[in-house]
Order: sequence, then structure tokens, then C-alpha cells
Amino acid sequence: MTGAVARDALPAGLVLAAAAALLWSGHATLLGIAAAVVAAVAGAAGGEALAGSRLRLPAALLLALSPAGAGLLLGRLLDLLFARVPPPGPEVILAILDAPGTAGATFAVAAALVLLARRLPLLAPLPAALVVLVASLPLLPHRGGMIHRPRLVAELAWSRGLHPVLILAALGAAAGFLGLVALARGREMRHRARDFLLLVVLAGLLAFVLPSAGLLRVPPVDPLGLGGKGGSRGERGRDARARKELLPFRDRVDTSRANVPAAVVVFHDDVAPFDGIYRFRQAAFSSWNGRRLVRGLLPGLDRDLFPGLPGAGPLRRSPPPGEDLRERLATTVALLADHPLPPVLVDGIEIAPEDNPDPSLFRGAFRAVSSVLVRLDPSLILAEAGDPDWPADVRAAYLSVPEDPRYRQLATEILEGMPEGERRSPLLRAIAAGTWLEKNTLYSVRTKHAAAPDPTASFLFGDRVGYCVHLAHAAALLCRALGVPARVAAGYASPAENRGGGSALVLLAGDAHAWCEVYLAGAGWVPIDPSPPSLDPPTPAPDLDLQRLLGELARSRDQRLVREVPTPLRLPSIGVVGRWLAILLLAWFLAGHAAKTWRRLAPYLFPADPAGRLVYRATLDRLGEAGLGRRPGETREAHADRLAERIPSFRALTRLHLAAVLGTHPVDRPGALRLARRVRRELVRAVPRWRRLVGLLAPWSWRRTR
Amino acid sequence: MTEHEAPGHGTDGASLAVAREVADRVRARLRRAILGRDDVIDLVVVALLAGGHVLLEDYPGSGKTMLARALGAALEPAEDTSAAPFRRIQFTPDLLPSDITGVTVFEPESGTFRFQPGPIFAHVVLADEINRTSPKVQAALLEAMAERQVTVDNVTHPLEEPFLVIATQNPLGLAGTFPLPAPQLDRFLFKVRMDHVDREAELAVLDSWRQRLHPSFDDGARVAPAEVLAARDAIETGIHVAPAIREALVDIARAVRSDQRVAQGLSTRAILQAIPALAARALLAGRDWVGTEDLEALLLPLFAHRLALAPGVRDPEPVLRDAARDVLDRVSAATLRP
Repeated sequence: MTGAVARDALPAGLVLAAAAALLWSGHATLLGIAAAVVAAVAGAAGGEALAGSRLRLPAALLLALSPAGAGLLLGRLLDLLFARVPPPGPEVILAILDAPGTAGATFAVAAALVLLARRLPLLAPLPAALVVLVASLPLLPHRGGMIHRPRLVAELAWSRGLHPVLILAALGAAAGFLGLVALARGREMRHRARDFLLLVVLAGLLAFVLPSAGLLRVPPVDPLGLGGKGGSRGERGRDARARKELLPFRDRVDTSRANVPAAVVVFHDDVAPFDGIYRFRQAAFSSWNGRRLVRGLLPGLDRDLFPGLPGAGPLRRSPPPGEDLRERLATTVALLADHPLPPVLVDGIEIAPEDNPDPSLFRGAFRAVSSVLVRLDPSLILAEAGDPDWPADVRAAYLSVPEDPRYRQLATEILEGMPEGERRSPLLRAIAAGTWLEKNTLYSVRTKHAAAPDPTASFLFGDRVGYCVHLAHAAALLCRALGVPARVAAGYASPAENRGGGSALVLLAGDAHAWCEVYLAGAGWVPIDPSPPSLDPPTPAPDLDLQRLLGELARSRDQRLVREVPTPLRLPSIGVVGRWLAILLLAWFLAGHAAKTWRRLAPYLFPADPAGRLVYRATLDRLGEAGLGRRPGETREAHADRLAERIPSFRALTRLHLAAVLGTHPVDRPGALRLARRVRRELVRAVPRWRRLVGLLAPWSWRRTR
Repeated sequence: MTEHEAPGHGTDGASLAVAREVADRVRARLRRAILGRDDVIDLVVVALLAGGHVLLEDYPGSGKTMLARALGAALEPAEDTSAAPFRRIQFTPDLLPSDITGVTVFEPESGTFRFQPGPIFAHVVLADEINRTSPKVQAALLEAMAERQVTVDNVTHPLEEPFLVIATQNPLGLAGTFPLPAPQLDRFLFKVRMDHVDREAELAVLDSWRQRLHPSFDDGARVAPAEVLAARDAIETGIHVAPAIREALVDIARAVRSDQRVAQGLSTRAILQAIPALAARALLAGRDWVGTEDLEALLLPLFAHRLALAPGVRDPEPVLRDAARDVLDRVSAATLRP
């Protein structure tokens, strides 16, 4: 018994396990994925056993789904346990917390699928459909902004100046049509394999075709909550404050769209910052509100920021100090997602509007001139902290520290850990704070601080697991406690090597970043950006092909290196095609109706009709229109007999016609017309109005008259 | 049906009306005697009017003797002939041909040989369990059926018309039987497989159980043999068989012959015999023309037993239905074309 169950369940289990691994990868730790794979096989066996048992379906289904609840419960219990018992280490905690949930959910889904497929023949294709869906997930990136995938289609399309979505949509429509044809041809068991293959193609292509509005556009992204549309979906409605707040603290950052491109930057010169990381600042947060740093409350704070995208003309800011440490760099930024605040390469001096290079793809574009800090001079070690020109209240705001004594305590500890001679240098103090964070914290986008009254304190004096927002806050507050004016900046950060030697850089949603900046006289804002060890899976290498493609598209037309290939595949505009289609459709419709009307009137126009063919044909047209036509292989008499209950007069009319055709009795015309009228009246009674209306509108219904 | 199609215009019409009345009389008598078998009764009446014979495949106690006796009783015994209205022959393995045809006996008084007619000299003959007797006897019966005459001692004795054989065979229990070979089956106009009657009819039979135990067959008007022959003539001349129907018959036969599932298809005789049967059915339906519905209704009883199927194929019905489906569809569609 168990052997048989195992044998039956193994293939399904393995397929489901593969699907589960695919599904969980990127969402769970390695241990969680392994647990899910084992659970999928076990779940398939469990479902098989339940299907063979005597349990009724609802009970069996409940039993199959119960491990999900158990897994969640176990996870919660472990969570509570680790809150009491000293944790063995953050990595272990996360992995252990992960496994019960993924395993339970996977087991439940696998068992329920196999059970339903076995018990209800209608749902037999369900597991296959799910596997297909999961398998088509890797094709989804095209929708997620990977507009150069799948390469086969995309390269062909882009090289001809077409958007690949059009081709994919056409392929999807063709696949859908084929699927309908296959369904219409009936489902025999031996066609299953072929139907399944078709289903795979269909599901894969539907994934491209189904997105609703903005088919050509990249979906909106705003992982850190800087005010773009969309943002993290889970956040919506759950926490009204988090929604209003810019750069909120979150317990879980949505990384599912990390690979979605948010913007493209075209560099007009080859300049790299001193630390090799391009930072694009959108906002800065410098005022302490008792819980966190918020955007400047004083008019004098953060005057180097740009309040929004350039409207009609350029926006200028005074150049930062330290001309000798900086170089000018012009960039063009094309936005793929909505950005209310422009991501400008630090430190921006001027931004100006630029024509949108491809309105079907980009949301907007601007040109920026930045003064990039290309080196840190040893003289900066002794540079004063803060701008000597700052008014007292501005300086106080940049230095304000929470009342919580632990910040100052920790700052004192850090200061005491520094060599005596270095303690006087503001820069070295700030660097020491960053170094301390790098050594004593862990990076993860899954945290537990959002609900705390002071999330930064919860992070810094709690489990010390946090992501960039926590780290930036902690660094800024520690620097302030050490007497260095600091703020939190947010935007995008991408290592210079991501450019891959090209002149374009794609900013992905996953590049969204927050970092700490300290102000040094003679240098301006200098980033302090600690990067502690990460608990999360490493981010994949940048896709250089996509970068090149988007960069090419982001260049204004006259700058493009490759002129658009003269397109042999120039499609007529949608308006023209639509108009012609409409004309053809109308002609088709009218022609059908003309013939239909002609056939209706013929019995009255031609009195010489000895066999009553015209009357009978007109009546058959009416019947066929209402779905009561003669079926293939049916004799006229059998047809009339079938309708005898609803249309009794049709029988007499049929006999009249047949007596003329097969017998020797010429049709009595008035009698035939009278019978035809009776048939019409009976038809009105027998067939619902809507059905007759549909038939009346169908222009070519008479083609099916037999 | 309306007055337009009542059979009849001119002299043909008058005789057709008479023929119809004769057929109705026979049918009414049979329907009174046998309940719930209207379909079989119609086929038997059609066979009577078309001059064919009927093979009933049926189980014991289903009323076939009753049917044959009622049919015999419906015919008036003619004074001038020796033919009885009805005779029943129970076929057994030891039956001899002379038990059917009759024998020549010596009459000592006159010193001459005299032919003593056998039970086959009747208008209606019930040949019960025809497959239980030897092929020799079967051959004698079938010769009589086909030739409508009996030859004994080199003297040929013609049989009285109407002459109708209703043969039966039990579809089960084939042990010890001599199944009829296909060429002999071809001599039957119809082979009818009877199903059990429905509940209401069976109840009605039980309700009239007294009559059933002592059947009289005396109620209602009888039909003279001459009337049957006149009806046959009227059908022959008065019922119109359209070219389309004749073409359909030939097309069905050709389609069946070319079917992979058929070893030997329909003979020309089969479709030739079909025409009077179709015409007789049209008369019963109150028409003076043969319609496609007649062809559809008689398709299986006319042709199913005449097919020799390829090895592995058991049921002739799908073969015939497939062949007829296309042909009848074509004929029906063609009525709209001038």
C-alpha cells in the first residue's frame, strides 16, 4: 500500500519539488528551500494517500492543508522561544524561523493539489497548470523591466525599432487561438501530451500579454518609500503613518522587484567618486522628531537639495566647497518609474529638463550637472566639522541627538576605542562610527524594529540586524553624538564598476539606498556608508545588455550611436489599421444582412415557386438563426419531428415542401405562406427574445441553413 | 397531415385510398391483438403489402405466435382454395422437407396419386425457431419463399398469394442450431430484433388476461386476399418514388460496399426489394410519395441482416448509420436546390 502510494506520488512530487524550489528561491533561506523541496515530495505522497483513503473530500482537504497552520504555529513558537533564550546567532535564527513556514506551506499546497487532482477529474490538470505557471515565472522579467528578454524576440524587435511587447502579444494571441482550436477539437486522453505542451506555450505567453494598462511601460517601483507611485504593496493600508512618511522603517522590504529598472543614467564624462560608488540623492533627512530623522523643518537646512523635477527651466544650487577635490560631471537621467524627487548624482549643481527620448518607455528625463567628490585629501583630517557660515540653529539641528542616553554612551565608547591622536579629527570620528557599525551589525531587509518608538535605538541597542535606513540613521546619530554634523540621504547607489566600462548605468529598484552624510568644511557633504555583513542572498551582477539597450534608448535621438535601421517592418499606424478593419467589418456585416434580407423577401418577390423552396428556405433561415436549424445527418422529417413540440406548424410546412420535391404535389402557395407565418409566430413563443435578437443581428447566419 | 397530401388524385388516388383502408384494417386488428408492438406490427404490414417475408429475432413468449395468428385471422379464408389463412410449423432437428411441402399419397379408391399439401400452403406461415432444423429443411422453406411455389415429385404447386412467412429464431442458446447462411437471410425482407415491450404495454397485456388466454381474433372486419393483392398493385402504381430516393438507395449501397468494416455489402436485390417496402411504408404514413424518413426508418430492418461484416466487427448498425447519414444529409440538403 505505502509502496504503491510512494511510486504513484514520486513523479508528481519531484515535479512539484522543482516548482517549489523555483518558487521559493529568492524568498527563503537555503534551509527554507531545502525544507520546501522535501515537503513537496512528502506533500505529494500525503495527497496521494489521502486521495486513496476513505475520507470525504472536505475532511481530506482540511487534513492536507493542516501542515500549513502547523508550520506557521511552529515558526511563531520558535520566534517566542528565541525571544527568551539567548539566540545562537542571527543567521541561525533566520534560517530556523524560515524552514517551518516554507515547509508547511509547500506540503499543504502539494498535498491539496494532488488530492484534488485525484479526486476531481475536472481539476486533474491543476498541478500541471501550476507547474507551468511557476515555470513561466522566469519569463516574467520582461514585464519587470527586462525589456531585452527573451533575447530571441527582443533583439529582433529592437533592431527594427519595434517594441517587443507587440511581437510577444501577437505570439500570445496566436497561442491563445491555437489553444481554443485544440479545446474545440475535443479532449481525448491521447491528445493530453500535446495539449499540455500547448498549455505551456500558452501560459508562458499569456504572462506577457495579460498585464493591464501601460503594456509597454516598466511597472512602478519605490522600494524605500520616497514617494513614487506603487511602492511596497504589503505596506499599503497596513500602516498609515508608514505610507505618509518618506523613507519609512519597514520590517520587510519588498525585494521581489529588485531587478526592475527604475532609471537610466547616461554619463557624459568619465568621472568616478572617491569611493567608487555613484550616489544619486533624492532627499535628505536632517531634523530629529523624537522618533527618527525627517526632512528639514528649518528653512536653512539641506539647501543643496532639489525640490522636484525641473519644470520649464533649469534649477541651480550653489556649488559645494572644495573645488580642488571635485570634478564636474554632466549626466542625463531617463526615468523608467515615477520619481517625484529627481535622483541627482551627488552633489548636484544644476538640473534642466530634457526631451523624453521615448515616451512609450520613459516617464521623463532631465539633464544634471554634478560636482563629484573624486578624492579625499589628507588635509581633510583636520577640516572643521560643519560649515562656518551656518546659522546657529542650523548647526544645532545637524547636531541634535535623541535624549536617549545610550547614543552618547555608545559614542563615548567609540571615541574611547580610537587612538588618542585621531579623536580630534571630525572626519576620523565619523569614519570610526561607520567602522564600528560595520563590525557590530548585520545587514538584512527583514527586521523587527518598525513598531518600536525609536527604531534606530531598537536596531542599535537590540539585535543589530537592519538595512540601509537603520544603518544610515544609526551612523548619522552616532556622528552627531560625536560632534560631527550629519544627516541621512536617500536615493540610489550603484558601484562604478556596474557601468561595465559603458557610459550608461541602470538604476534598479534594488539599488535604492539610504546613507549617512557628514559635512566637512572645505569638502561639503561626505558619505559615511557602512556596509556590514549581509544575511540576505547577494544581489546578482548587473545585466550589461539591458544597460546598453536602455542607455541607447535613453540618449536623445540625435545623440544615438546607432541610427535606427531603415525599417522594412514599418507597421501602419493603429488608427489606419483600425479604420480599415472597421470598414471591412462593416462591409462584411452589411453584405451578410443584404443576402439575409434578400432570402427573406424572395418568397414574396417570386410567386412562381412550385416546390415551395423559397418559402421553406426563408423559414429554415429563421429557425437556424434561433439555433433550431437542421443538424448534420438529420433528415428533413427528423428535423421537423425534433421541433414538433415547439414549432408544430413546421412539420406541416416540411411535408408540403417534401411532397412537392419527392412527391408529385405542387405546393399550394397561399397555404405555404400561411404555414410560414404560423411558424414565425410559434418561433416567437418558443425562443427567448434575446436569442432571437442575437440571431437577427448575426449577418451570416443564413450560411448555415442546410 | 393536411388535406393537401392525402393520397390521391384521379383513379390512382381512389385505389390508393382503398389500399390505405385495407392496410389500416389489418393494422388495427393486429394492434388490438398485440399490445406495445406497434413498430413490429407496422413492419409486418409493410412486409405483407410489399410481398416480403419477416425474420423475427426474439425470445419465447414475446407474442410472435400471437402476431402471426392475428395476421392469419385478419385474412378472410377464400372458399375456392385450399390455402388456410394461418399455419404454424415448429422447426425441430428431425423435421423433413415433406413435413412442410406436403406429400403425394396413393388413393386406393380411385387408384391415383393425390398431392396432400403441407402446412406451407397457407397465407401466413409461422416458421418457429427456423435455425433448429437441418439445412435441408431450411432450403425447402426458403425455396418456397423465394419462388412462391412448391415442387413435389416433379409436380409444381403454386402457393396462394398473399404468402407471408414469419420466421423466428432465438438470439440466445445457439447450441445445436443451424444458423442461416447469409444468402438465405437475403430472402427475408426484414429482420426485426424485438426488444421487451415497455411497462405500460405489459400492464395492459395483464389487464386483459382473460382474452389473452382464450384469444378469438374475431372482432373487426377482415381483409380478403384479393384486397391485399389489389393494395399491392395500387402501391406499385400509385406511390411516387422520386429519383432522389432511388439515387439515395444506390449511394447507400455503394457506401456500405466500400466500407472497411464490411466483407460483403448489399446486393442489388436488397435495394430492389427495398423499393416496394419503402412505398408500402409511405402508404402507411399516409403519403403517396416516399420520403427520406421512410429510408431512415427501414434502414436497419431492411439491410442489417444482409451484411457480411469484416472479422472483428460485430454490429452492422454503425456501418449502415454512417453510410446513410451522409447520403440522407445530401438528399435533404438537395431539396432546396432546383
